[in-house]
Amino acid sequence: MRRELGLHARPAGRFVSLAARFQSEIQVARAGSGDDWVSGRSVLSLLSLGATRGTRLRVRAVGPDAGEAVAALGALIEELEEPALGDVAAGRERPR
Amino acid sequence: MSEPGGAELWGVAASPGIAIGRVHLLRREALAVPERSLPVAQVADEVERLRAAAAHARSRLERIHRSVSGLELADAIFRPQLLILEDPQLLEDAARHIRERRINAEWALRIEQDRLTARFDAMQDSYLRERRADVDFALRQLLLSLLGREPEEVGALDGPTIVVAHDLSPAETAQLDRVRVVALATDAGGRTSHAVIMANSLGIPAVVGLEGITRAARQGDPAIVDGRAGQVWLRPPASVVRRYAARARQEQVRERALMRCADLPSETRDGRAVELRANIERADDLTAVRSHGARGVGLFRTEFLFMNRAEMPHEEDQVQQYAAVLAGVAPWPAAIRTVDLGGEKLPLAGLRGLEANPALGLRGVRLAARGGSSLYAAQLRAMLRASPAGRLRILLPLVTGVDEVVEVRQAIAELRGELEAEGRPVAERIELGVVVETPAAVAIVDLLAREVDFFSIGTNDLIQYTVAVDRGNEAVAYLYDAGHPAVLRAIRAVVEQAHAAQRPVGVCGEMAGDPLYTLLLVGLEVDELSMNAPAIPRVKRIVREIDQPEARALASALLRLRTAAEVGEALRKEMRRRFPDEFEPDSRVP
Repeated sequence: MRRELGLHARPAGRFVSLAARFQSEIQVARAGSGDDWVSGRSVLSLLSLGATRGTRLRVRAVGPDAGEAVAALGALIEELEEPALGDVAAGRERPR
Repeated sequence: MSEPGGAELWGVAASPGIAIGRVHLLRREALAVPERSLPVAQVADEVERLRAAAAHARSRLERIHRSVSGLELADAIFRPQLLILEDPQLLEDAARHIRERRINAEWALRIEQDRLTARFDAMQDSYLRERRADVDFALRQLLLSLLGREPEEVGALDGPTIVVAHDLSPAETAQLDRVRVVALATDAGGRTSHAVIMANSLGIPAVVGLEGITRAARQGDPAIVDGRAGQVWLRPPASVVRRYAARARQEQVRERALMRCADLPSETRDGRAVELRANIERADDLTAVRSHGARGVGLFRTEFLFMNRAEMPHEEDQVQQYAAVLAGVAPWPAAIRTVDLGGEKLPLAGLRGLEANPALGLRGVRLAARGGSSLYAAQLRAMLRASPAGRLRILLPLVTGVDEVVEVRQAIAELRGELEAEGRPVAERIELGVVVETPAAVAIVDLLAREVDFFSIGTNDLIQYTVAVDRGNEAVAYLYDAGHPAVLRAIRAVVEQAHAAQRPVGVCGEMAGDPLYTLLLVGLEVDELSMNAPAIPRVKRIVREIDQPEARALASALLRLRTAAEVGEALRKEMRRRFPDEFEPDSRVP
């Protein structure tokens, strides 16, 4: 997770809508958290991972298009851009 | 006519300004959740009731969203709510509780909410932890729908109103009467709350984290909010009201005066010029650059041009952007920084995940030599093509050695030849400079000075690399301090060596735009300060009210102190003494 503000609602929403394009069952977990997998189709579950910049996430999928799903979603996590104006107050006010 | 039982509360200053008005108290009562066990026959109906309520809550929220869609930030506030209400997992989990435990939907929802709340509260990161508010508000909407109740109304306001609430829900935030609301004050903390986003966007003062203001305030109480100090007065005595009314008028006058001095020269009382320039990210930012009185661009970050795209930006697009900036600020110079791709800022495709420590990895000017040389050459070529439009300065990030500069210099010479052979004009004089942001660059400024025309100290990274602190890491962020003696000595060393070679020195980090450091930086003989345009009027006002010898004396005194804390304390004390209206006394001491 490279995004400064972590995986919050908007990026999680992007993840969920991309996940919805695949037939496979998709799950996400924090690296090193054992088998604590959550649904990749749930914004709340993704939020509850508490992923911040530097958190390593694992994505897994089971189904006919599992390979593509994992590749696409993995790329999305790495590419999540920095927030736009909406998240402003947050971004600028990080502790120095 | 002082009112009895007045109260003074202190919280977190979240949006500056002074407001005087009457309290409008928003009380969101806790919803009583009925807990019922169901006969098996009713379970399916109960699950259906939950789904219907979710659909209802969603469409109601969408309706409110549409009603305020013209409002900037409405999306930022409503999207997360809608995403949560659309979450299939939430409904599935709640439905499972209904089926397995045979309980009513409200109860099932409460069980899910408790589980989520526990997970959020356990998070380390304060920003994500505060997102719990999104979950709470969304689930509350759902609960209200289940209970067949309407969402809370803000109600009609009369006259200048200070909205006092535990926290503001998105629905409430959206309903605020934007003419009458003059300030916001909330119990709950968090600079990233909806209330704060709203206050910032409306430009009204806000204080949050006031713990207990909803208990202390009464409907209609006269009140004062001081958003810079983080203070709220309830039922203040008349003398206090007069004092604040006078201050509010002064602030207005001061703001106007600051903007008026946008066009005055930036020089000390004894006539030493300190050039104030703007940091920008794209050509669109030029309007603000001009209106705030910047003389040129001290840092044009070009990463934006390269972000969110699969391919390199087309050369023509780059030429157009650079020429627009150069022409827009001419006759003043514009320093365009070559793309600082790589590192934690923007990992290059091929490097993703390969670098264990990207801040110390393949980034900045290093890309010119390895891997990114074609990208680098293409950008330099575009800059040269744009150069006839104004005064081009090329700025190289993360330089640690003379060879890096020599290499880029050669590349520029070759590109110049190439372009001239193509019959394309290139400006006669193009200045080359480096961002001094590594201890290595600080140590070899005298050597670099033979190869470059100017220096720009990037204090954000320089502090990070000097004190070995990742500022994004909350565990050590307290060590990140511009006042650290090592940082001040580094700045002094750079200026001394650069000036010995007649090269000007600028500062382009956040330190340059913070008025607290203006006197110190002028005292250290820095020639240019580059900052976000809105910061310029305040800094210019300070420059215009100081004498160079005095500033120099202060800088020497500060350089004799031993710790960042001592420097910070002495600097704040001195700045408060000289500019009492600009620097408030410590706000946390009542």
